[in-house]
Amino acid sequence: MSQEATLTQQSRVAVRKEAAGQFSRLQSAALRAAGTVVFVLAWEGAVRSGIVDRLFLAPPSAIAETIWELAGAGTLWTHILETLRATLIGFAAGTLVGVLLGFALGLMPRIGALLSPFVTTMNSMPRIALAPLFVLWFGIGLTSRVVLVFSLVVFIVLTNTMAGTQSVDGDFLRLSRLLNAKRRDIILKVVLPSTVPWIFAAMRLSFAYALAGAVVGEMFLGQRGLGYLIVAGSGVFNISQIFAALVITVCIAYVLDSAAGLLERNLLKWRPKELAR
Amino acid sequence: MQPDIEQTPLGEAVTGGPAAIALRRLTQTFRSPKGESFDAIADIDLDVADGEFVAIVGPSGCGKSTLLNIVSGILPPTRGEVSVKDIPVTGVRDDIGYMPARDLLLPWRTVEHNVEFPLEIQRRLSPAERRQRAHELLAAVGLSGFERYYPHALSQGMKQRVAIARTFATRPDVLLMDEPFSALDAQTRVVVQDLFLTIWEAEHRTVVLITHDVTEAVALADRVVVMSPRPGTIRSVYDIALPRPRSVEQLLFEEPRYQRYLQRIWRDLQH
Repeated sequence: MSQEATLTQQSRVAVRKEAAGQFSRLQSAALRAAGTVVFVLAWEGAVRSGIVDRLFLAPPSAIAETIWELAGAGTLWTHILETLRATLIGFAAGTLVGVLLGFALGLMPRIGALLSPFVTTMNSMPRIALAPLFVLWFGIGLTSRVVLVFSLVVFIVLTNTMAGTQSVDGDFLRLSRLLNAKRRDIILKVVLPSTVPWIFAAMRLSFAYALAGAVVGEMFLGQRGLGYLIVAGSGVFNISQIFAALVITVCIAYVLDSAAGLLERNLLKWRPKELAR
Repeated sequence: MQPDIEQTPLGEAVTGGPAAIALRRLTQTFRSPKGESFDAIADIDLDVADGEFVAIVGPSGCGKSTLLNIVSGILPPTRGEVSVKDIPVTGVRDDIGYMPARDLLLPWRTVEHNVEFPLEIQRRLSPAERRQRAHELLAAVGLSGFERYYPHALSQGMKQRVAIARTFATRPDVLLMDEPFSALDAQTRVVVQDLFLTIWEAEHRTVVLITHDVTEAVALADRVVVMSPRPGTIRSVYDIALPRPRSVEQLLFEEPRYQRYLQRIWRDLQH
């Protein structure tokens, strides 16, 4: 019974430690906010005092004003939705195909060995440079941008999923075999769950690429979207519009990544805290 | 008067009676990276009676684990025969259980789901019955209330107790154990060994335990088999005539016969 008592004590210590962690997380959030304020003020000051030319750098106040105007004119949402559409469709399709192919190649070593040079080559190619080709192939509509995003996401997810299937603890597989497990059960109950963290990591990594891909795509061939705002702004030296589009892009990335982080922590709550963070 | 162990007759490897496990002229030949072949174990004959607890001790590299792998059905022997319950072992079987040195709890499964894992894999019992069996076993290893915990929240000793519960979940006729307590610190080990003995005395399965720890072998087993270094052969066999139920803790401190078994087997291993 003393062991149980020790455990309760241990878990109490753990809870206290966690509370301490949360407190310091609150502190670090405050520090981060303070840092951001200082940075924005310094930026504003640098432009207003003339240290930096207004032609090259828009002050935060002007950026905020531009965002306000775009929002007021009602066009801001159209641009954001256009970018999000290409990002999310391409990202979802890329993740799905990447996971499926990753499992297929990871679980069928012979096919994996056959195709892995191809995958490595594709993965090392700067796919963003394929944008002009995609225009030729798929026109200047949404399809080209979705394909661009897809091509960025799919290989990241594929290689990570494949690596995940191959990094399963060999002793887990051995134990399963000693329990007389069928291959189907080993895949579903051992390989799949231990690959999930790898897939999550790949998804979070590739989302940043997906958003960048959508924006770059619009710069080449868009009539709308955040990328279009950037190109249109630079065409008429509207620096604050360029920065407005960048700020919004960063905000979208931040919000969606935070949501993904929350989801990941909930789905992977079996992982020890030190690993999850 | 204490009986002198020096004069007690040694046990027999082959008892000739009805056996739960029978090994005959078992030999395993491996090929080294240089291409030379060598025998890991050679001509092993051993009977294990139904409900008997046999411990096999020997220096590392004597082929103990190879022997266990062969009995488990995962490694076909080069020569010789193995049968469990009078049926030749030709592959992994549901009636043979295995407990490895590492706890190998699946980190994404809760404690209760880990205990249910073998039952799920072998399609035994309904989900509700599996859950009930898991809870009974967890109670038996003193872990009631921890059913919904994830393994990372448990101490090493608790994880090993979950592993014991998982091992007994399928009620295997024969239980093979590969140094199952070696990952524990000395104090926890005694606690977990005693716990295992309690459950074993209730369930009374046939057990083959492999260990390099002579104290563990003598404290737990009915019979201790001493193996020689490569190629592994049976050097000697000791019947451990210590009364049951046993308490490992009491044996350690209060039982002079236990000490003499230790000395004798220890000397045997030194050759």
